[in-house]
Amino acid sequence: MAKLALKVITPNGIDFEGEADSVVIPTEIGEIEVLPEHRPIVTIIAPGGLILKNGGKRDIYAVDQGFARVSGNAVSIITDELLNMSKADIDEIERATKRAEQALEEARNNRSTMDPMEVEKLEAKVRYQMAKKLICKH
Amino acid sequence: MKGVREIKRRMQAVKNTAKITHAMQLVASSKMKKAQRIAVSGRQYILALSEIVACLARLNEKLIKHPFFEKREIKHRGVLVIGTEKGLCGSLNQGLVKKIATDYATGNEKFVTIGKKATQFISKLHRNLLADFSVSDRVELCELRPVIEFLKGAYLGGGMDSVEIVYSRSVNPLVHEQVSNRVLPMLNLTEEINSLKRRMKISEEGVVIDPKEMIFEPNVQAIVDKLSQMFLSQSIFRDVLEAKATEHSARMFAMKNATDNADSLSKSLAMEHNKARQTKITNEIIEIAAAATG
Repeated sequence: MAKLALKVITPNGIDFEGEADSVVIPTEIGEIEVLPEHRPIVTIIAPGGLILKNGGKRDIYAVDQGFARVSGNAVSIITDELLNMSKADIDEIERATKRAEQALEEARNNRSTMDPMEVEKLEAKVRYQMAKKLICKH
Repeated sequence: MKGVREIKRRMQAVKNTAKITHAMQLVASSKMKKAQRIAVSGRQYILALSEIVACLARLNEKLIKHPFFEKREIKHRGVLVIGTEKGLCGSLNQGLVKKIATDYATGNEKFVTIGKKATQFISKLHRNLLADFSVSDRVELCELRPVIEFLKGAYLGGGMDSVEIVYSRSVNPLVHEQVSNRVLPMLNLTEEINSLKRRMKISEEGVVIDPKEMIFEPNVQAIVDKLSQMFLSQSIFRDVLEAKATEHSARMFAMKNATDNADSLSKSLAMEHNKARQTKITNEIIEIAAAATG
């Protein structure tokens, strides 16, 4: 069977490039599973778990917000950040979540001095950290 | 023939200059490496984004209701000029002046600048300058927020009907070119995507177009709203990064040339100094000899 060619692109370049039998993408309106010969689609990614299935193997990554595009058997994921969950450290995520929440709290208190876009960015960061925590416990 | 002492003083001055330019060359080269790494690694991201925007732009115009995708009659062209903050970078800014004097001379342009040098030459050319901004050497996206908001406001308010970015980018470390990149409205991106691919040395086939109809989830409007804003800021950010990397590489070569010139000048001064010294000694010997025989 044909395979999907998956590419994850972040502002730092191509973070991941590989093949998969199917990919589960977290979108704003729920998870979608993309199999080869899927209809072309463009969708908005919500922070969550990106699951790659290869034979019986499942690899889980955490993705930040972004976009996904499927065209032919090519899947491009464009996101701010990608993390391989098998290498993730739960304690570090726990700490990072605390830090992000704290920063957001501070930003909300000085709303007058903060750039609203920055606050939005922090909110996204907290959402992303939460998503990572959920996947870890999963 | 100049005096020996005067030549010696000049030699010292030239040597000091060479030391300074050499130091500036080293600083620029380290900054260039960093800036180039950031600029190169960001290219994939912007390419992927532009491919999605291109998918949208191919859609029926009626489907997309967003001012960024509207085709309007162009009465006022908005031009964002990215110059350098400091001089001593070779012919980089002169190149921009030339480009603006030839390509943007109809009188209906409105200019916005980044960098002090750009502000200076736009006002010297007596062009319509709306605003000027400054960014640091290690530019972050949030630093560009005021620029992006300004351009967006002007475009949405009708003050500008298109937004183009004029900046310099390097073809190779020695050669740079001045280019313009239209970011608004977001129509006809094929050209832009192909030029990006050429720069990234990816084969230049068009975007793979699946014959089946594209689905947009949750709907076209949601994607357009989210993507257009992001694409605008990322495009501007990318061009600023490229311009910065080019500035550092141009400065590095300008300083290298300056150091080389100072070195050769110092060599010829040394020759002159030796000659002057020898002449002085010879004259003294002649005098002594004349006194002895006389």
